[in-house]
Amino acid sequence: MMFLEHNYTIDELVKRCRAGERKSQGLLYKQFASKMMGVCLRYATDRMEAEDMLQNGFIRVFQKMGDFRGEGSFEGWVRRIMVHSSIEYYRKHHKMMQVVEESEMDEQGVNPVAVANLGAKELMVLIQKLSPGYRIVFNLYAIEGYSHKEISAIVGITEGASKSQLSRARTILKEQIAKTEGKKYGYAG
Amino acid sequence: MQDREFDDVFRSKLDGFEAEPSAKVWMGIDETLDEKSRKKAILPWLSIAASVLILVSAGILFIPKKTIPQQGDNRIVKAQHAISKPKQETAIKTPASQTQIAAVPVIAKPAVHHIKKIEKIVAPVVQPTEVIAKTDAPKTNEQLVLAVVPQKQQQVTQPVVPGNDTPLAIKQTDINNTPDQQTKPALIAQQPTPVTKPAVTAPPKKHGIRNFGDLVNLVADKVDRRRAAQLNDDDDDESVIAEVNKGIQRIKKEEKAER
Repeated sequence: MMFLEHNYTIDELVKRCRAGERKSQGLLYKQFASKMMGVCLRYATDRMEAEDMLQNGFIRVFQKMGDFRGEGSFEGWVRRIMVHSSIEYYRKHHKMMQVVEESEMDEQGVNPVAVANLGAKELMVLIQKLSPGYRIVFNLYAIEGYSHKEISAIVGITEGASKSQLSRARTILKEQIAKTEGKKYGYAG
Repeated sequence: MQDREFDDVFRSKLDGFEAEPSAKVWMGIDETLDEKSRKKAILPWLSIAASVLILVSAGILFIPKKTIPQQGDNRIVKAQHAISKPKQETAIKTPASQTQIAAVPVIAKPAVHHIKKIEKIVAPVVQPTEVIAKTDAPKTNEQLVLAVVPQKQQQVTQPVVPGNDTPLAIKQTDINNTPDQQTKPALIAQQPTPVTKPAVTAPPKKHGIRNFGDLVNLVADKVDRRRAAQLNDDDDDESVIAEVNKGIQRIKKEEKAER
């Protein structure tokens, strides 16, 4: 059991939130805000977008609190809502599947050490630079761990589209990493 | 580098990534939750207000018809009480009256059915009885009680008890005539018709507007009268003109005759 301020367990806090207690809702928000902001940032272009997604996600969390049946962790449930709210955000803003047709890129061999040396913030920036369609599929597959079948259901694209978008996303990321790597070592390509 | 390894680097570094959101995020959540709870709080009140409105408007349309039979029922209940009192008194006086009074409740019951059926006719009568009962109040309780007794009893009491009771009975007729008028033609035969007719027409004038229907009737009545009056005036004018014409014609004839 996780303990919070005033020694409320998560379960207790969830119960109080269900009753519409604003104080408990605030405590629950405090508990998960930073973590969920980390999730939303991966799906967003910038902080502004991420905060919009976070706000919508938490509103949905509090509204759908009654739907949480205690199967699996509460954090996992909140996280799933955040992911869905982030995807919904793009659907609403008609940015969803703007697949930018880019010129055929040559597969670049990326130095594994170079990738491993990159910090979380640098990786985040790389993901945020992807176009929304690539970003969403890469996030869902590589980080959230969904299968292409699940992604096709969540996003509303075919499995084939999911696969091709994933490989495109990887290619773009590797290219970007190679560029920064080149800059670091002085021979920029 | 394998795709899986590549993905793992991202997963391991970004999965636990945390960042403090700005304070306005919670403010936005708080606001929208407030709005929604306010809407939730207002909705039931709105629906209650709406249903009250519907009930009131339905009441204006239907209650005048529905409540009046209830008042009628009250009257009938009073009448039954009233019957019991005279029973005791008259039973001591004469044996003949006993048999007649025994018949009273039997007669009274059909009267009840009639009143229920003819709801609209009962309507104007309810108040007059109350009003007159109040004015007569200083006299005796029996009067109040008798005022409510259906008229058939009068038929019974009139031949048996002379003098003293009859004036009371006549008073009752003024009060109670209207409901029984149409139900009991026999009574109308007994009593002079000119007495009963004013009793019918009087209540709406005296008591004015009790509901929307009355208001409409009153306005329609006044308009009709005014129109009738105007028509009469017109007729008068025309007749005057006709007379004038006739006069002119006569004068002309006389002139012709003189020539």
